[in-house]
Amino acid sequence: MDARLKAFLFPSPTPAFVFRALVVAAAAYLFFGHVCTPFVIRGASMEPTYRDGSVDVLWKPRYWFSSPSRGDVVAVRLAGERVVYLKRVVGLAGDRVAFKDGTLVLDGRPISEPYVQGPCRWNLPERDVERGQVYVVGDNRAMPIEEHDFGQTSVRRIVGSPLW
Amino acid sequence: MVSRNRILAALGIVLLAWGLWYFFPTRQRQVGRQLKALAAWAAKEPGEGALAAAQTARQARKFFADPCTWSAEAFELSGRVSVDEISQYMFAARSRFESLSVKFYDPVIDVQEDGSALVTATARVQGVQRDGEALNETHEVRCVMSKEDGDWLIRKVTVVEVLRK
Repeated sequence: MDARLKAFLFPSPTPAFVFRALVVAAAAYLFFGHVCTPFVIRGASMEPTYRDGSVDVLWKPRYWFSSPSRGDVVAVRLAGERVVYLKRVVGLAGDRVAFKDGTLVLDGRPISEPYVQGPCRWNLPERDVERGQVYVVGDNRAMPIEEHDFGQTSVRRIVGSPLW
Repeated sequence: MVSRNRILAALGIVLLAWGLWYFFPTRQRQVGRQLKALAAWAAKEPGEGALAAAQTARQARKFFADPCTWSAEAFELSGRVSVDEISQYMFAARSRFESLSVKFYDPVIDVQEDGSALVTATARVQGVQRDGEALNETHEVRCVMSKEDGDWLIRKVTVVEVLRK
């Protein structure tokens, strides 16, 4: 084996090398653990926008200095951030949210949602989004409303948004 | 070059630290191990026989206090439940599944001054029912556990409603 290649693949554990390796490991841990975390999508509640089994990256600084807006796709944490819900924000604090024959209704006005495809017959009585909360729903409205996890949640539970 | 003796000394220290950590667990780690045991108890491999299923269900006493208080509005389940009822419920629920897996993520374990432990975790239940339908449920759960006869038992379970319709 070429000496340079051998030195690259099997470097001598000099103090400088150990230091560099530790710095790279710490930087990778901080970046991929707390800033830009890869994740796998499990479940069909965001189809067709996000397919079951696809891979994405969670961009955590997205809401460090701003608040979520209507239409944003956000990650909602549960007990921690290893498992999160991926949902779309459809209502902000003070909004009145309802579904009538599959159409999202905000403050009495029907809202066009181009990201929703397939038949939807959802009906949900009007409800107020409370202060400090947002109303999140998945894009897949073809599934029965009883089987779909959606609703009002605290803004503080939002931990970022997918990068694409 | 870092000398071989230094590397061996570092490895020895790491090994010693691991041994202390593994063989002398803190109360937090004891609770964490109990959660892992609970997940393994509830899980089901394909082809599990009726006898094994009944034996598994009877082991509820190792994990739940008698009675245990449940508060799960999403499942319309609340109130005090005896261990025998939990055993029967587990037997019936597991028999509906061909395979079942339960995992706890992000457990936060806080041991109180009175000796009880407050546990918050994300519980993920995945399985395939006998009719082929898949189950994929994820919930945040909060438990109160206390040590009784050497085992950490769950005295109270609350399923947190993260998304309120």
